[in-house]
Amino acid sequence: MVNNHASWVRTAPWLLGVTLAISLAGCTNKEAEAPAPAPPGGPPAGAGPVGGPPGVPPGTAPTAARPPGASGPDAVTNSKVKNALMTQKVDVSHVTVESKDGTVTLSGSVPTAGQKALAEKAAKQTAGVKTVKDNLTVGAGK
Amino acid sequence: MPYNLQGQPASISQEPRVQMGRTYIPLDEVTQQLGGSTTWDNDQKLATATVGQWTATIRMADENVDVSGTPVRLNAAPFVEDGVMWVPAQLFHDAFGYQVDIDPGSQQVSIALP
Repeated sequence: MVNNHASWVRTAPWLLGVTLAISLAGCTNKEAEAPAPAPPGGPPAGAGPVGGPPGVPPGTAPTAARPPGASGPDAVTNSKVKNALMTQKVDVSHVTVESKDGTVTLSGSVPTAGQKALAEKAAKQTAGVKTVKDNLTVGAGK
Repeated sequence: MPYNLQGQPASISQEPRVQMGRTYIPLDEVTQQLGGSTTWDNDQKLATATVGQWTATIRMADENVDVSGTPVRLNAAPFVEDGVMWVPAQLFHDAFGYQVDIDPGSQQVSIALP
């Protein structure tokens, strides 16, 4: 028993080393795989492979996508209001939406008085909006 | 068929729609038919569309899109209606490099590698 125990003690560092090496190898592989670019998207059967966009320099390493524009509750409210305007078919080409703590300011211009009224109504009905300041003008946008 | 993807007629449940002079198409279905995938962050109102190694991050009602770290400005803002994010067809050119053609008569949208 004593010999066996001694043998185990002598062997243990080997086992620990091997175990550690395997663990590290596993971690390294995982870390190496994580940033690798996703495989090209599989096009429908029979179509050719999808390559990178020619508009972007070839070989450009993809990086983690970052959210466009600002984030936070005011930015989300902005998105909701502008989206509400768009789904109501308001021409938002020349409309700016600014949100601050539930107060939404609409500025810029819309083509018709009807769209101005629609924009204000849609903004007021948007979740999270308490007050709407309608500074929209009617007429051709600049 | 209102869509032709990679040279093949494609069946997509939502037809293209024109709004403010721009042709909009449903992001999720078109991306999937091109072999990509999408996700949706409802808190931030952000969609991500990945085709190949390129990922576009798209905020509802915001023309500014991020494509794998590169800012891209679309010619019109995407919007969400009834759970579907509609994006200007041009997004597939600007973000992923596809050639996008829209037939002015039939409004058929063709998307293919150039």
